Amino acid sequence: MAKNKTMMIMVGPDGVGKTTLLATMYHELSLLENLSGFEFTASQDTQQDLQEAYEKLHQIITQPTFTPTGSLLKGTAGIIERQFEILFNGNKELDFVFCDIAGGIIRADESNPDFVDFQQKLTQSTIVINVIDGSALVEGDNKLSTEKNEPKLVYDLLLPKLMDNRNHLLLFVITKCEAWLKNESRQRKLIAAFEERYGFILKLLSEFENVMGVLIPVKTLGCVEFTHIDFHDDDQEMIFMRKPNLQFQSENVDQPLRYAIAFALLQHNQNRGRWNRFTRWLSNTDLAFHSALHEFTEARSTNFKIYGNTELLEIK
Amino acid sequence: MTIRSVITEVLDKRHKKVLTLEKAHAGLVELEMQIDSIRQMATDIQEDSNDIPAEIVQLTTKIARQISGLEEEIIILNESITSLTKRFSKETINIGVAGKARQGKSTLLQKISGLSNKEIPTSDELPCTGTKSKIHHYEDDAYAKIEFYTKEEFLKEILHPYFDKLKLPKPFSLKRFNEPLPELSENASLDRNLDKAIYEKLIFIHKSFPTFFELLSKQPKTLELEEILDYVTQNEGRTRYLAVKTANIFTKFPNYDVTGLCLVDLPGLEAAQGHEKKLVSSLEYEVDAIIFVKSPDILGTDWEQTDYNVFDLVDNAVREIELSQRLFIILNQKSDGSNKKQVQLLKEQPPETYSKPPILIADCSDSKAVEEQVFSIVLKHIEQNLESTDRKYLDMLTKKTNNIFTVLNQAITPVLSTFTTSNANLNRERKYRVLSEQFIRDLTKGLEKLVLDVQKELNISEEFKQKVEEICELAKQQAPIPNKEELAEQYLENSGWKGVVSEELNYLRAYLTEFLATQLDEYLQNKVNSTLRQVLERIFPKQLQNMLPQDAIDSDEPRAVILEFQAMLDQAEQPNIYRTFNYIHKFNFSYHSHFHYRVREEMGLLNTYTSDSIDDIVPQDATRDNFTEKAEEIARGLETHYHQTIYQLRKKFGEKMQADPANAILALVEEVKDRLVRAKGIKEEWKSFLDPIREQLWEDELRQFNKEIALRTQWRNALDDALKGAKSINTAFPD
Repeated sequence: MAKNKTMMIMVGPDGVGKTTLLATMYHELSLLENLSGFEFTASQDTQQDLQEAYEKLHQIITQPTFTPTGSLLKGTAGIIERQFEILFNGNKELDFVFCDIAGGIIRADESNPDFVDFQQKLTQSTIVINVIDGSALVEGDNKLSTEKNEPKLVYDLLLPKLMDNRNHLLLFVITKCEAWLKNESRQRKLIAAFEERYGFILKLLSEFENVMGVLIPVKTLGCVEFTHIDFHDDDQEMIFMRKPNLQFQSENVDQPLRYAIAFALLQHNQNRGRWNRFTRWLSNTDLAFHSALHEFTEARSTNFKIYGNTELLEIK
Repeated sequence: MTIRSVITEVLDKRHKKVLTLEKAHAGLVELEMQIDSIRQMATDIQEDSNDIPAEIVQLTTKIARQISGLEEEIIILNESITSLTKRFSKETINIGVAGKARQGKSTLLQKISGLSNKEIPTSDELPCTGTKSKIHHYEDDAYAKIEFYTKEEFLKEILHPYFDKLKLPKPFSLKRFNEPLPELSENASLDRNLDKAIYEKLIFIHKSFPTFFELLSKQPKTLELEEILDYVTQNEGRTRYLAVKTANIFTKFPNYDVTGLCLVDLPGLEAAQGHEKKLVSSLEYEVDAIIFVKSPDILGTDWEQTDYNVFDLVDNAVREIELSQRLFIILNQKSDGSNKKQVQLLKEQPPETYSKPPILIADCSDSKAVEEQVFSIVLKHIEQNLESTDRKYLDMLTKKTNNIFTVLNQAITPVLSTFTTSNANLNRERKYRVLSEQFIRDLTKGLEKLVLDVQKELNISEEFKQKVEEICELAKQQAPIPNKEELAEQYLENSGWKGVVSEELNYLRAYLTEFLATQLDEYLQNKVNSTLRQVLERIFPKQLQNMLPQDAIDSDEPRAVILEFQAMLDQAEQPNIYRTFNYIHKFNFSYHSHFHYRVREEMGLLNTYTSDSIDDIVPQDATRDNFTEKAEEIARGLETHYHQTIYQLRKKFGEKMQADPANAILALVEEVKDRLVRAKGIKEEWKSFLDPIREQLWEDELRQFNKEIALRTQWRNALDDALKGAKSINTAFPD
């Protein structure tokens, strides 16, 4: 893999809100103007796709009756590589590839070509976003929660990939959790539910030197809230309500990307060759970059709970 | 000592014995019944010896066998005592004078008493009347007193023997007798001629009946001596004598003051006279000595069969006293000397009886000879022997009584202790102890098992959860949420959404809490009742349940059984058991006590205390212009709040309250178990409860013991009573 390329992969079963997150996340980021000299641009295709997805989402949300989305974007049946570039002062610093996978892939057979591809992408990625359905996490019983988030399945695939000599950033992004972000006590309940159900992986993280985990609950839509579960014999249906008086307004969706970019840049900077470092030192570029990176890193929210090696995002 | 004082003294002594004899008689009657009942008890055991120890069966059979002859002995002894009592009750010492007609009996009586033919007719002219005459020595002016038969005596003692002998149907009343007599059937019996003679006599009595029947049952009649012939003879067609039982003559005997002495003219034994019965009863208890008058025929050379009949009658009447002590045979030697040879012959060849009575010879028509050779000798004999004869008589009876006591004593005393109930009592007590301990053990096991069952099997948590879910689902299906058209109408009525939503929220809240209360409370009550029933089933074995009223047992309400059971308890004696049942009775686990307040806590989304819910439901962009459009959104909002509330309740019940009923019931069962079988001193309370009702509770189990105890007690009492009775008769018997 090229040195100046960072792979990020988003994992989670279908329906947890991966594409919604991506669409809102990109939209949020595109709104931000001051990125401390850094620029984050999508390739033409990616930009078009994400814009399309966002608009579609917006359209759905503005309807009075909320219905689950189904696929927001075409092609999420397999693996889509969404290409981004990170520029510093107009110069490209890094390719940032975002692998958007179809949720069903994690359940696919090993002989499935998509699954093989997925395994490869997973191996290449240093940044992983595990998207978690917050409503199922808190309200669902074991069965429902497992069915929706498949933590065991995800980490059976993921854990072997973390055991290499690279550093990894693992972002637990919780979606569909608007109802628990209303106040602190509800938020605590959300975190407690996460730590209970993901306790097994958190315990492992504490032993890993090369992995840092961050728990980021996000509001993707802001105006749709989980209300209750409908029970139909053995089936349970999570019911969400479009709140008439709440606005479609994301919250914190930029944060996973901020963490990812910061981590990618940090890792990129640390991995520069000696000659490169020397020339950058000579031209004072290194100092400016360092300062900008510091500023960018500091701009992210630090209210999130960190697991594993917390030093991986510190600038030395 | 004169003959008069001897008589007075003997009579006095006799009278003093009467009461004792009567007591002995009553005692023997009682003893006879007791022995009869003992024998009957033994027969009963032999016929049904189930559950009776073999030892008792053998013993009672043996006792019955040993005392089997006693009853008859007692009956015979008592007959003797009856005779003696009658004999001792008499106011006079009686000398009976017996003999066939024309043997000189009446003449002898005349000579002793100084009376004549006018008072004592001889049978020279007509046959003897059979009227019993009693001649008393009396110092004052002579008189006679006639006693008549009662109607009953006349019917039974005089008439019935005729009918019996003739095998004719007996009249059961005198009125019936007065009707024409039945014909005497021609028969081929050996004594048909005798029957004919008897029948003729009966015809005579029947024919004469109208002339004398008025005298029957009359009070005794006192007469001048010269009037007596009307009542004692049949001369000149007289028939009154037929009604006379006894003709008493009171006259001064020549030569001796024999006050207290009485001569009894005993009836003859001639065929067809029907006097034998009267004679026998006289011999048994009326006379103290008998003078048998026989005038040997000049052709007669030996004692006749009729003589022996008399000897046997006299002998059989009082077996206790030898014939020689009571009987004087007077051979009437006629004044013309015609039978002198025969008299001498008979004197030299006395009758071949076991006991040899004295044989006296005298001319009965000669007053002096009678006085010297008969009466003075008889008086001398009485003077010397009367008291000792009485004593012998009594001794004989004492001996018999003693014998009865000895037999009883030998049969009873050695085995009396075998009938003690202490062993059977101990066995019963032991059995009861086993039963009561078993009761407490079963109770303990039952309640311990119930606790385990409730822990393991009473899967009420899951059941309760399902019930809650079912009720929630029902509440959801029956959600009283208005549709958009109704809401639109309400909007118009209220001129604003907030009022409408507020009202609907209030209504939904009230509806939901009431719905849950009704549904869950019924379920919980049923559950509690079912648990109480199980508790009661473990506490009350079948026998104890049987003691409770059936309607309480059949009742669906287990508390009815508790109340009935409490009524059986003694609050002072069994305070802890009583209190425990109070506790059980008062135990309640209702929706209102345990769930209602917690349900209310979950009503936030349907609350109108703050405007949060209303604001959440009513869109900010709702205006008067778009109320029809927004009505649908508001209906959805109400529905969501209602569903969400149900969801929250369901979750809360599932998470926090699901185990509550199970825990409460388990706590109840554990508490009941601890209080009823584990508390200090509780076993003693149970025992004090069981003790007074043990017979009802374990009727079958204790029956065998009770039967044995009752039997032993019955036998012991019966034997003890019989022995004491016999002993007291024996001790009190005059000696």
